[in-house]
Amino acid sequence: MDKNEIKDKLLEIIEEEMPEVDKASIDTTASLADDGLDSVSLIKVIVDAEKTFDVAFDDRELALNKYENLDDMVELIEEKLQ
Amino acid sequence: MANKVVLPVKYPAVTSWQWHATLFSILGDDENAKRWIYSNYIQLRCYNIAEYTTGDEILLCDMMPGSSAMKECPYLIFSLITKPQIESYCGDVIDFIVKTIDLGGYVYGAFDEAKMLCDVSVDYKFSHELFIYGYNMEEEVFYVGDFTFKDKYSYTTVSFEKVKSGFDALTAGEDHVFKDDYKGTRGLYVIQKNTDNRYYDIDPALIKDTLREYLNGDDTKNHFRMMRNRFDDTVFGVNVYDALLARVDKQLHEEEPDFDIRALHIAYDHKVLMLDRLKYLMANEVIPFEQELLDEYAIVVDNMLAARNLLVRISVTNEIEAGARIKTYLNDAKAKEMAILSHVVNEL
Repeated sequence: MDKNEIKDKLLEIIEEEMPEVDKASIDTTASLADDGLDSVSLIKVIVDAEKTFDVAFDDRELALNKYENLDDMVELIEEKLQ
Repeated sequence: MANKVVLPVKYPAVTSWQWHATLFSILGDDENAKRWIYSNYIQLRCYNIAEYTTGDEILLCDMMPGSSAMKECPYLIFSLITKPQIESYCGDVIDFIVKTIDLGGYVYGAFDEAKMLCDVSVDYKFSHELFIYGYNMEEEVFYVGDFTFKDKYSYTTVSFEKVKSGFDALTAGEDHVFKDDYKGTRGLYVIQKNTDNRYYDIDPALIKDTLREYLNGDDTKNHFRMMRNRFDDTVFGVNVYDALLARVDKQLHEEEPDFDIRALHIAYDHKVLMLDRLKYLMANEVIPFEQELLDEYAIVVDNMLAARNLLVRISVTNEIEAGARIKTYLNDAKAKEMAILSHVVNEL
């Protein structure tokens, strides 16, 4: 799975978890907070992402401050898939 | 009267309770206020109490000073105004808040926030502290800070009408902000900054004494019995780690598990603030600069964040057995923090 596919699926997950967020408006280079995510919604997104991509995040990877932006999370998932 | 006035606020470093979020929102990066903040907010304590909204038992964990922080902070002027005073001076609460903001005053007090959260009429009340820091006459909204409107502390706007109905709906007996100390009184607090002069210096002796009490789990409130002495079951300092573990274990093993993260969150905020304090003390040459010490304490902060986030994760996945990892994070954080702070006490 390439980065763009991961990103598209991740955006779908965010939209599903946070219906108030329009995925078209998400800037993957902006901070996750600017994209409307908080620490609780991020963890919900990660739990869904684990199922979707069949990967595991460790407890320290659940923190909002571990990611500068959504692209960081895409890269981490790509690494986990390799 | 201006069309729009928004008093300065900064997203708070401590968001655990509304009283701390309000104090840190107002004082933010003020250099004078830092001298008081870093000399205090060291001791941590917790006790079991019935939550005022639900009656359920919770572990109330907080730093010291707690809900009285804004009264005790020398860099704020914190004035109680009763409802009869508000009505006598201004006629109604909207006019009072607008005039207060025009004079540079922030407003803080209990409102029925069920009136703010729901567009339709509801038959229950949700009394919560609201922090008001601005208004817009054209849009007829107040600028407010609270935890209620999103899953975390946030700044937003609430209409004049909803603020008025939220204020009017609560009786004196339902005003939980005043209930403990001023039973039978309904009103608001006006908060003004008092930061132009230096009223308080960084206090190494107080920091050293309080760190010792934190490490020994001593009853710090014995110093303040002249002001309040209501609770006898309070746990202090590093013993809070054990109380947190016992609470999490109980929460997760109830018939219907409870995933309240507030006690873990304040413990995390305590570590964030402690790390900031260590950096401040080093930058101001109160203790020698030691990067290794800061790096080690950053691991304590990470452990507490991992524990809090794991409880959130368990609330989503219901994997109760993962709670065992919370014990590891807290025990590691406790051992590491005790070693670091014992070293700091010797340096002070």
